[in-house]
This record gives sequence, structure tokens and C-alpha cells, in this order.
Amino acid sequence: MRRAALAGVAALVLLLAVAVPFGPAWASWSDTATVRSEVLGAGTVPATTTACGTLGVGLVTFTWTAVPGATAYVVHYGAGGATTQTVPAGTTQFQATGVVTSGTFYVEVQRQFPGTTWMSAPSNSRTYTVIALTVGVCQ
Amino acid sequence: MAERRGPYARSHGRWRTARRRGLAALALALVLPGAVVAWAWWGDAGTVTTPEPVTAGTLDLTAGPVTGSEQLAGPGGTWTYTALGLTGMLPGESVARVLVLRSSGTTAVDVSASVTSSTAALGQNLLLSTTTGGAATNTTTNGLRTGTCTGTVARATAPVTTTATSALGAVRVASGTTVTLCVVLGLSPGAPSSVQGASTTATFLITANQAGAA
Repeated sequence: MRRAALAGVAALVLLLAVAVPFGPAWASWSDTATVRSEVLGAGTVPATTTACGTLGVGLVTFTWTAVPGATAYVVHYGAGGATTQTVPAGTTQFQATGVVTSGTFYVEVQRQFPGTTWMSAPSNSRTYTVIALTVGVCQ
Repeated sequence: MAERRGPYARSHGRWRTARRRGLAALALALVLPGAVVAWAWWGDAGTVTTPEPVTAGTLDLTAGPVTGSEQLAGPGGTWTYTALGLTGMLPGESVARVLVLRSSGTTAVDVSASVTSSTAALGQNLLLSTTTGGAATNTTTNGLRTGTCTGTVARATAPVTTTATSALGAVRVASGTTVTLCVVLGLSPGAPSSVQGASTTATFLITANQAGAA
């Protein structure tokens, strides 16, 4: 009789231990939606176009098209265009001189912002030869 | 010699026997009719009818540029906010737009939002700030476009990347009312030359939970 009573109590305790943690399930409602922007794209600094300018004795002049917003131009000349020089924004020509010199000429447009500096892609390139006392060659 | 019992003993013995028989009979009389004792409980039952129908409420988040009712009716949905975009951005340029979020169901909701960039093309250079309860203004000065928002800061200016970040912390919106989220998206003033020509889109995931739900 006592064993039966203890068994009954144990069963009740077990039932409570199992049932109580798994009480009734509560659910709440929700709604989720997506809002997409349109394209967010960075601009570019336009490249310029170079041309052969005036050819003189012992010199070659190059010109390029002005780019709105440019704050300077970086001209490349010499062998492989490795030599550079930064010229002010209002400048649109450059002269190569020397006793004997040749190379490749091209221009990058520079735009300075308060926090950074952007450079354009390189312009088209020109090859040239300058020899003293002779008219320069540009092509 | 057998014991002989006197008249008193004989009558007294007969009396005790009779008493035992009577008690037995009484016990029998009590047990037999009540072999199954019937117990009864009193009860009562009634019917209560509600005067009005009992119906479930609704929860619906909608959004739009003006009233908040223009888009996203019903569960879920995706809407492309065509005015929220800017191409040809230069360092420091930005655009501001208002996004109105409405609790269009019958229950109040707690609204929150996260934001991600669809690509890593702009890296850490796409910036977002948000406010609540404000208005958007877009101006152009010296050729540079700038968007600004008034209101209470919900998110300070920070990069938008492919990892979700908060655009709006939970805000309680009563049924039939709105919260105005003003958004400024732009290119970092320090964006390097290498991001020229890169582009992405920003995706806002907006969640409305039943008010007070855990």
C-alpha cells in the first residue's frame, strides 16, 4: 500500500516535470518587407584627348582638350611617358624640347576634392622625336 | 456432571443471542441497500452570447514616399524606391529621401529596419544616415549635389556594406499612424580614385512586430 502510494506520487511529480516546461505555445504576429534603392553609382573624371600641336626646330608642342572640373593636368613624356609634370587646370598645351629626345606623350586629368584626389584614365598617346636644329616629329 | 444453568442464566443467554441477531440484522439492513452508495453533485449550466462577432485583428506594414500607404500592402513584399538613387556621384555627393512607414493593420507594431549593399563595389565608401520625424532637402552648390535630413537621428553616418547594419531601431507605431524615416545616401568625401565608375544598390529590410511581443 505504501509502495503504491509512493509510486503514485512519483508518477505525478514526473508528469509535472515534463508537462510544465512544455506549456502552451504563444505566438506573435510580424510583417517584413523590402525596400530597394535605385542605382547608387560613383562618377568618373573624364579623360582628355591629346593632339600634336606646333612643330618647331628642336621642339614639339602637344595640346589637349580642356575638361570641366579639372583642377590640374599631369603630363607624361619621355621614354614610355615615365617623366611627369603637373600643370595648372587652365593649361592645355605642353612643349617638349631637347638636343636629342624622344618618347611618348599623354595626359591624365586631375580633380582635387576636399578629402581625396581622383585621376582620369590616360589620354590617347603621341610619340615624338626632337633633335636640335631640326624640326620635331610628332605622331 | 453437566453444568446446569438456572432460569436467569437461560433467559439472559437468550437475550444476548437475540441482541446479536438483531445487530446482525441491522448491519445487514444497512449494508445491502447501500451496497453502492450514490453520491450526487449539484450543477447548473447557462449560455452567454456576445453581442458582437469576435474577429481576429490584422498586422500590416506598408510604406511609401508620401502617406506610407502606397506600397507593400499585405504580407511581405518588395518595392524599388526609384527616387532613392544617385549616379555619377563624386566624393561628398549625396541624396536625401523620405520613406514613410505605416501600421496599416488594426494592431500597433514595433518597426525596425536594417540595410545592406547589394555589392561590395563601393566598399566602405557608400554612407548612410537616417532620422525620424524629419524632412529631406536636396541642393546643388558649385556643381556638387548634397542631400540633408532634419529630424531625430536614428542612425549616424556610417558605411553601408554587404553586412546588414541597423537603419532604424525599434519604434512603436500605433495602428493607422506612421513613422517618417528620412534617408541620406552618398559617397564618402574620402572615396579613393579607384571607386570611379563602381555602383551598387541599398536594400532596406523593414520588420514590424506585434507591439509588446517578446
